[in-house]
Amino acid sequence: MLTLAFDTATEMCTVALGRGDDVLAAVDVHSPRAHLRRLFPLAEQVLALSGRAQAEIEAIAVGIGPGSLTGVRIGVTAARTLAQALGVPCIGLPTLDVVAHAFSRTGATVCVVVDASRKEVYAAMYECSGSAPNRLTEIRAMAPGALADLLADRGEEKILIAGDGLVSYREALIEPLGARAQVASRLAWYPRAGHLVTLAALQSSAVASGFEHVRPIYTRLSDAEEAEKAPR
Amino acid sequence: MMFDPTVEVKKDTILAIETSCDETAAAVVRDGWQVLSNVVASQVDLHARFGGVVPEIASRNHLETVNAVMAQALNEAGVALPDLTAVAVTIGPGLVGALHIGLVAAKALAFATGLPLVGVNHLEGHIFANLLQHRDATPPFVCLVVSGGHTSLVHMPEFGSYELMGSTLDDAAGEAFDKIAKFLGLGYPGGPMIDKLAADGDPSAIEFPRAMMHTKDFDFSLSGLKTAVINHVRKEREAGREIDLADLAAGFQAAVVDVQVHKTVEAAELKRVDTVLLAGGVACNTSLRERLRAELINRNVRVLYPSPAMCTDNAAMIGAAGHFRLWRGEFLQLDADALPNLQL
Repeated sequence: MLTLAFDTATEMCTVALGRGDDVLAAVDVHSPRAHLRRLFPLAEQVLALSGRAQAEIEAIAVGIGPGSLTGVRIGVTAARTLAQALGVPCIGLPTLDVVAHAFSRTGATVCVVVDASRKEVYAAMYECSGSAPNRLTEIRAMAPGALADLLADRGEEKILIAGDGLVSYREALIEPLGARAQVASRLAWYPRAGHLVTLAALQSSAVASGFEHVRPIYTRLSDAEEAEKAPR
Repeated sequence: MMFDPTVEVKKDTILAIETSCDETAAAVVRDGWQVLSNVVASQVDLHARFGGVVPEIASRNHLETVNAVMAQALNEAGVALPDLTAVAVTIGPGLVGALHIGLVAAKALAFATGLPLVGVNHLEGHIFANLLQHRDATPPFVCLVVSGGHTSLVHMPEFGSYELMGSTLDDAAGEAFDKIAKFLGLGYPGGPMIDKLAADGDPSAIEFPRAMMHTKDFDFSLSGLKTAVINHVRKEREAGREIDLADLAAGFQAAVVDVQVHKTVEAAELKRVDTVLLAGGVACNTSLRERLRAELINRNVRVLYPSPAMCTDNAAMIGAAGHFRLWRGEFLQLDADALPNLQL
């Protein structure tokens, strides 16, 4: 299925067009707080670069976060509405899974960390020996120090750390692990829509494809609701 | 050429989308005035317990709702995407995260279908709501724009041309109603509650200050009035006296309406217009409508206001203003940004 894929949950606005393992065109632009302006011109660009038209799109794939609240909503709303207007299936996949997919078939144990602001990261562990990453934990928001302690408790295995949470928290994350920590190349810190195309193709039969089912992952309530729950 | 909505210079069918605050709305409007559908999904119940709109909750709910609202608007209008001429969307002013959802959805529709995209100023939409029901109205107008976020007097010499005469220096009118209602425990939104209570009260029983009544300009100030109401209530409570909520509401409302009517009449006289437009959610207020009409009828000035459903946020008004912008050939590109602080 010719799939238009994009992820706007991090500072990278990443858009690709492809079919299964064949990525026809992909564009990544580091554009903090500019995804609303970037996303559709880049989508036009990948169509033009691959000589395809909107009407040929057969599926939409989107990273559903967690990440920037605004960014996630831009991507998910775009995906839902494109699927609605084009009458095609829509597949939503966690942004952290997309980052982890860069390491599929490497056999690595991967920890993906995405900056969650408020001095926290969204984190999840993956086992990456198969064609798609196997997520071992829930995606959770936590302090980098708390995550590092969890990782340190995981015995002797080497852990490959990837994700844009490394930008701010590299030292806090790797120091407690010592020699067990490996840091992914910077190219692999952000989700790439090319990976989203291939990952969506692997999962499409198993995932509900109506756009109504594609919703953001926030992990937190709004501040107002969190304040309500907090003990006074 | 002057834009004249009474001449059907342009046939079009517009899908309009509005998500600037806490209503997710979509409408199909034909030729700028025929409302084929007008769907509004209100989030008011989700925000009520916080006494005001929580931006993050609004954004989240726009995302959940906007696709179904658009589908319903098309469905009720009996229109499919290929039947449309353009997609119009509110680009500001409003809550930035809320505006994003409508704008992204509109861009996605335009990208998928090739339809032109038209960006609409939410305040211009409120003004154009009048034209949905009063097609014979032609400028020049003086417009009193009163809502939860705005209180302005605007001179409109022709369609699409706006001269800001004055505006509130602090709270917007709707905001003042909401804050007083919250303080009195009347619930949210405050406007309709106070309007209803005031109907049974004596507006002269409690005298509240008329701020900036005689400043000879067109600005407003409402925060002092709010403080005066709160102080009055505290004083009465401390003295152990029962508070007559109807009189309190009537007194507060009269203080707001007096200044607005006075300044609107002065503005209409200064600009020598024969038509005044009321626009925005507070244009629902019965006292404001009646007092303004009573003051202006003697001066041969007509007062127009939309029906209550068209006063509060809706997408039909965005379709009406979008028709005008489309007619002017003003299109939005796919790289457009939301403009949370957009002025008229």
